[in-house]
Amino acid sequence: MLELLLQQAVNGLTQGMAYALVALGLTMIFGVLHIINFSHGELYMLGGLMAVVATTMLGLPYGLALVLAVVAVVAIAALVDLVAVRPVLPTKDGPSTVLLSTFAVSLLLHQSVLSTWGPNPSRVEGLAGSLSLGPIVITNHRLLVLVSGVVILLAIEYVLRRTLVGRRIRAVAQSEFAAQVVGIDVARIRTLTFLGAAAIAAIAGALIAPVSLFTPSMGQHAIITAFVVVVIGGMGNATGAVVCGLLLGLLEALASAFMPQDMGTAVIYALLLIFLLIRPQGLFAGRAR
Amino acid sequence: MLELSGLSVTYGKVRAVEDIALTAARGEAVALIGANGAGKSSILKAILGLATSSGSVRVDGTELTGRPSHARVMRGVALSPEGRHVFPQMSVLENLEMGFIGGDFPALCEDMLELFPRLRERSSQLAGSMSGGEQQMLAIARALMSRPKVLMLDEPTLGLAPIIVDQIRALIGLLKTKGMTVLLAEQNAEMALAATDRAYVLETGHITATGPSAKLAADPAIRRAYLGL
Repeated sequence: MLELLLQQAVNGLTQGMAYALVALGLTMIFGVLHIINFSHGELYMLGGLMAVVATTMLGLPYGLALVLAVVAVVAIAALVDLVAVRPVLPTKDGPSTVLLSTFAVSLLLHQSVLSTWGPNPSRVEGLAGSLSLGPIVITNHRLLVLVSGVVILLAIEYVLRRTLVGRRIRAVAQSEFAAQVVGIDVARIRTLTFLGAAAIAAIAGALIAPVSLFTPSMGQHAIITAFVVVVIGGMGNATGAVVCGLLLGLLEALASAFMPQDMGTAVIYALLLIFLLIRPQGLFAGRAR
Repeated sequence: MLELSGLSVTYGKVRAVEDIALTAARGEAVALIGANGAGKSSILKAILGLATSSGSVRVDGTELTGRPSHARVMRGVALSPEGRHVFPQMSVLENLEMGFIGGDFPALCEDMLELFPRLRERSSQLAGSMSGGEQQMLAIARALMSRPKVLMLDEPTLGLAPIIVDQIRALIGLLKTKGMTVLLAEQNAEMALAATDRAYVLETGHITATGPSAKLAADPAIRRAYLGL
């Protein structure tokens, strides 16, 4: 029993890391641009797709596939920013309209991949081999997901706290008006944040594809879960997104061990409802940005 | 030198400021006085490109109209906004860094900490946890970090203790001697007229009087309307 729990915990943390990375991007965009980017999940899906294309169709090594995924997804995100965010944001009710315009982009991306690629899951070759820790077996790829996730999170923390551009991102998140007053190019910071979040989503998608197989619908599940993570963690709060992403992955996996399949996901939605009723500001509301 | 001509500011269909002409020379302090809602803050925001406006804004002969706010800061305009608007979850030093646009950062920072010794004591403290007076000092120091030609102070004494008001008045005098143009928007007309060389009186978006500050301070109508005398 304990073995099963520990194994599920490892599996859950791996998936949770992907949730954390997607939710982190989503919450960064919300914190800086004050918009909800509904297409963010599809950027995660495209990261997975690029990993499939690069490894199975182009025969590239997995490491190179990760780089290709980031480059391709950031290019697509730049187009999304140009077409569905920048022209819409300054209009009346801009943030609400961006929700709709990025939702349209989300459907467009999803349907485009679905119609060309088909609905069937595709396998991606990640790192081979596994590691045994007593009764628990961790595949090398799951280990890669966890280690890469931690490295990415530390790198983001470093950029936000220790670099000028990172501090400018935090400044815009704290007060867009004050940022304009001191001469920060707010439009540039918004674009950087949008593209940075897309890069993180792309890596997450490409990292998780060898674990859970690639499907065109993986983005839809990811965006809904990321919303739950962001709501529970606190809108715009990076720490909340990471902690709650990991916890949700863990909870989903543990619940799946004792309940019928997909009940783990139902537990997550039940949690969302509970939090919206009793603590709508989220667990980490008011913490440092 | 700051020159405004035909400046109008609108918020949607509402015209907050209409056809303003104003000049402020190098090393001169100019006050904008008027009641709440007269249009003082709107003029300062328009100069920095933060409000929808028409007309001309020139600094040392360079036309700023049509440029974004960050380009205007690069051209030598800085604002200490009403309500301070410091970055609350950043330290004093990080706030100063946000106002820095080029040059020798450690030297500039040292200048500011010398000018405002209280900020040196608070250098690693989060700005949001400081008192109103300290935040005001920080907002002014942050604006000065860009080494502006024109420093705009929007209601810098609002809600502050008389000792801080005196410090701000002395600071304006000091900045003038360094050749900086200071544009001060204040409801505290007594302080504004005492701290500046010239003043413009604003009523519902229009300039209704202008002249040397000392002369306006002696004008019975101004004294009745703005000095409560």
